[in-house]
Amino acid sequence: MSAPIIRTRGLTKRFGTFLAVDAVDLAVPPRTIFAFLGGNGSGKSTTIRMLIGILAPTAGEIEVDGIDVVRRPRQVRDHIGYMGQRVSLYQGLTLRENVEFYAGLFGLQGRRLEQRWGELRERFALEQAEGERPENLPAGIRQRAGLALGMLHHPRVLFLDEPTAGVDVRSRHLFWHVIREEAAGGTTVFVTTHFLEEVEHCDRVACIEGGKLIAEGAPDELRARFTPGYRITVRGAPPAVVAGELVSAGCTITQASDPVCATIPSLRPATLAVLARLREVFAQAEITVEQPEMAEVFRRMLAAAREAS
Amino acid sequence: MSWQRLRTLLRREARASLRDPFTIGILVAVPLLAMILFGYVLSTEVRGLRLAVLDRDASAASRRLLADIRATGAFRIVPVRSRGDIERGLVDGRIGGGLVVPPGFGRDLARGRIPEVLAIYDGAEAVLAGNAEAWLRAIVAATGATLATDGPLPPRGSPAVVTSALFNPTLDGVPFMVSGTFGFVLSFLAVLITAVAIVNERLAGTFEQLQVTPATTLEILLGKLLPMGAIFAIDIALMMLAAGLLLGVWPAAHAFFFWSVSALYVLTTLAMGLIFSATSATAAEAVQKTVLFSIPIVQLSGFAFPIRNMPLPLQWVAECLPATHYIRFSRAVYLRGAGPLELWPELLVLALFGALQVGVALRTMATRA
Amino acid sequence: MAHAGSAEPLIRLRGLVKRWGPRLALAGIDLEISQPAVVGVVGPDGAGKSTLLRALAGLLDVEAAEARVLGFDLRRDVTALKARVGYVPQVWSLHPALSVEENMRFTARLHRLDEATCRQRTTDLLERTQLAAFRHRPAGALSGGMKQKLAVACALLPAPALLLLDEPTAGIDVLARAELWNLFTAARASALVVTSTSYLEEAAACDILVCLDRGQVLACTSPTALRNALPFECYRAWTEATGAVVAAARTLPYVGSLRPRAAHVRIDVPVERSPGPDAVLRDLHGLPGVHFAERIAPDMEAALLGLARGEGR
Repeated sequence: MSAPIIRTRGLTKRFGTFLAVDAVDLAVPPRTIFAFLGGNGSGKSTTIRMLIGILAPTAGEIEVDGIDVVRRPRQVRDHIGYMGQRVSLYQGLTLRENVEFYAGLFGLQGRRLEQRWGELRERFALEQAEGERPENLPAGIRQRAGLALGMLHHPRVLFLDEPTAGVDVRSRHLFWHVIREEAAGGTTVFVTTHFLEEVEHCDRVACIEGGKLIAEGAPDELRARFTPGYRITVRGAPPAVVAGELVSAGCTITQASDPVCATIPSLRPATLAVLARLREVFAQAEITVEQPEMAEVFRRMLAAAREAS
Repeated sequence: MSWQRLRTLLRREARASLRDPFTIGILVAVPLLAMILFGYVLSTEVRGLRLAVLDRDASAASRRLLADIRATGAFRIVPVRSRGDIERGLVDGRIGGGLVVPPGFGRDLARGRIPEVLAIYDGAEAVLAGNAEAWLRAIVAATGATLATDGPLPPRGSPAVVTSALFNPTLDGVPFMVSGTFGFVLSFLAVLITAVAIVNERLAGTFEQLQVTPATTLEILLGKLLPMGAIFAIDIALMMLAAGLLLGVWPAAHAFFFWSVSALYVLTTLAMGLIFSATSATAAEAVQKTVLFSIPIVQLSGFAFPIRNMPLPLQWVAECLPATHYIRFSRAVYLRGAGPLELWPELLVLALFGALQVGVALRTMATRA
Repeated sequence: MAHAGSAEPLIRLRGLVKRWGPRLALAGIDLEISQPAVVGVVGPDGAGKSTLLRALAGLLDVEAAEARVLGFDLRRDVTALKARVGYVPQVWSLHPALSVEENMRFTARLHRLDEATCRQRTTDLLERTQLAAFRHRPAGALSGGMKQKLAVACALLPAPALLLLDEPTAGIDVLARAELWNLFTAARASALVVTSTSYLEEAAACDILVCLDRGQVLACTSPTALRNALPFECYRAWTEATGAVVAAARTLPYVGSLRPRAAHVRIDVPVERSPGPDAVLRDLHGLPGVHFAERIAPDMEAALLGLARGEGR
C-alpha cells in the first residue's frame, strides 16, 4: 500500500470536559473512496472539521497530502475540496455567479475558468441550472452544484460531508457515478453518509462511535468479521458434487441436500470461479449469492462495540 | 493579502446586497428615521414649561420682561402671590420652575444698577432645567439685569448650558440631538444590523465553505466591512442632508471633515458587529449581545444625558468608550464648527480604539471556526 | 380503534391540494388506506412528504374533492381528529429541561389522561423503549436515538389511532434505527403508522409504500409489488474491474442501466429487450473480468429509479 494521503495519529478534541474525539488513528490510501461513518454526536463532524483545518485539535497529528494541517492549516486549502452538510451556495447570486466567486478565490479566472467550468457543467448536467438562483433549484441539482464548486480547483482530496442527504434516488445514483469517475481519475474521496448501502461504492470504511474508532477496513473485511458472510445457494444440481466443489472453494456447508446452502466469509475470485464452473457444467442449476447487507454488518458492529464498553 | 481575492469578495458582497431590496431598505431607512425621530420629535428643548412668576415690582419694566419671556413660547406664565406658592407648586409638580422679580426692579434698571431676578426650578429635570436656565439667563441679561438661582439645582457652570448659551443663541435643542443621533446610529444601529446579517450568513453554511478557500481572515473581514462601510457612508451623507433640509440643522463648518471621520468611525463599530456575530450561534444571540453592550453606551456616551452630571466613576467609564469621543467630536463640529486642529485629541483616541476593535475582530474571526 | 364509521377507510384522499401562495406543495394527492399497517412515504426533498404528514395530522388548511382521515373531514373542524393522532415532527420538539418521565406526564396532562392510565402506559412505554433506566434524566441530555424514542413514546401515550412520523430515523445510528422500527411494527397492532424515510432498507420493510414526487403520488403499493412491477430483469456481475466491465456491458444491445459498486456491477435489462436469462448470463460471463454472474431480484434502488424514470406505475 502506498503512503496514505490522509493520516492522523492520536487525533483528539476536547470541548471543556467533553471528549468529542478520542485518539483517532486514520490512514486513507490515495485514489480511493473512503467512507467515514458515525451517528449524530459520534464525533464524526468534529473529526472532519479538524481534517480540513477549520478546527484546531486538542492533541494529535494530521497530515493531508503531505501537509501538516495542525501547524499549517491554510496551506492545505489549495489541495482539498470540501462539500459541507449545509448548502454553500449564496442565495442572492445565480449558480454561475457562485462559480465565479469561488473560482476567483482560488485564482481561477478568464479562459481557464471557462474551460474548467464548461467541463464540470457538462459532466454534472448543470447547463439548465446555470442562470438560476439556488433557492429555485431542486435539492438534487444543488447537491451536484455543491460538488462541482468543491472540484473547480482540481483538488487532490475531496471531503464530502453527507452529500446525498435529502436527495432523490436518481440524483444519488448520478452523484456516485461522478464520485467513482473522480476516484478512477486519481482523486481521493473522503465521504460520510448515513445510507449504509452507499458503503458498497467505497474501497475502505471507518466507523466512529463515542469519539473512538470502532472499526476500519474494506467492506468485505468487515463483513467477514461481523457476519457469517455470504450465503450461496445452489438449486437443481447433484448435491454431493455441488457440496464437494463448494467445500474445495472454502465454503462451509449449512445444508447438504438440494438446495445446497453454504456460507463463506468473503467472496474471492477463486470461489466465484468455482460457481462459474458449476453453472457451465449444470446449465439448469439456479445459483444465487446473498450478500450480507451493510446495515446488518454495522448493526452487529455497533452492538459488539457497545457491549465491549 | 491578495487584492484579487479581496476584489472577488467585494464583488460578491456588492452583487448580493444590491439584489436584496429589503436589506438595503433597512440599512438606509432606519438611520434616516432615527435622525428625523430623534432630531425632531425627541429633542430636549424647552416648550411650554409652566413658570410660576412672583412679580414683586409690578412695574412697566417687569411687565416687559414677562412679555419677553412669554414671547419665546417656551414658557407658560402662571402668576402667583407668594414664595410659598412657588415652593408648593414645585413640590406638587404643578409647575416646572419659578421666577421672582424683586421689588424695585424697574427703578434699579432706570438708575443703571443691576437688579437680580431669582430663578427657582425642578432640578430633577436636569437637562430641561439647564436649557431653561440658559434661556432665562439670556432674556434677563438682555434687559440689563442678572439671573440668580436658588433651590434644588444641577451644578452651576454646567458646560452643556454654557456651551448652549454661547454657541446656541436660540437655545435650540435640535442641533444638540442631531449631532448626538449620529453617534447613536453609528454606534448602535450599525453594530446591530451587521451582527444579524453576518450571523445569518454563518447559519446558512456559506461561511464554513469560505473558510476552506484560500481567503485569509483579513480578506474575509474587509470583504464584509468595506461594503457595509460604504453603505453607511452613504447613510451618513443622507442623514446630514435630512437634518439640513428637514430640520434646518447643518454643521457649523467642516462638513466634509465630519463626513469622512464619521465614515471611518463606522468601520470600527462594524468591526464590533463582526465580533458579536462571530461569537454567537444564532441571530437572536447576536441581537442580545449587541443590545446588552449598547445600552450602557447609549446611556453613558453623552447622547442624551450630560456626562458631567454623572458620578465620577461612571464619567471615567464614559471616557473609555469610543462612542463618547465620537459624540464629542460630532457636537463640536455641528455646534461649534470645530476643525481637525482643535479636535486632534478626540481623533487620536478614535483611531486607537478603532485599531484595537479591528484587531480584536480579526483575532475573534480567526479563532472561532 | 375508535373512528366514525367502521367500514370507512382509515385514510381517504382524493385530489388533495395544498398551496403556499403560487406554489403547490401538494398537487392532487389520491390515497386510500383501509387497514392498520406501516406505511412508508418516500421521495426527494421538496416532494411534499412533510406537507402530507402535516395535512393528515389536521395541521393545514387544504383543498380536496375528498379528504377523510379516521372518518373526519380535514376541511372541517379537526379538533376531534387531533385527539386521536400522534404526531412526531422532523424537528425534535420535547422539553429538554424536563426529565423523560416529566415529558411523558406533560403529554398525558395535555391529553387529559387520568392518573392511573398515565402511570400504567408510561411504565409500559418506558419499558418498550428501553428508557426506563433514564426516566429521571433531562431529555436534552439523551442521545439522538433515545430522544427520538422518547418522542415516539410521547406520541403513543394517548393510544392514538393514527401515528404520523416525519423522518424519525434521520441521522440516528443504525442500532437505534432498528429499535425505533421495532416500536413502529409493534404499534401497527393498534394504529395506522405513517412514516417518511429516506433509507432504502426501511422503505423495503414497510407494508405499504407511498412514493411522492413534486406533490403527487407516483405509486402506492407494497414494496414487493413495486419491485415486481418493474419491467426489468436484474443481474449482478461479480468483478473488481468494474470500469472495464461497465464499458464492455454497454456494448450489449439489450442492456438498460448499469449500477456499478466497488466489487460488482448491477445490470438492469428491460424485459422487452431481453433475450432471456440464460442468454444474458452467458453474455455476462463472457465479459472480460467477470468472475461470476447471477440473476437477482429487483432491489429497492432499482424500483425507485425505475419509478423516477416513469416505469412500473
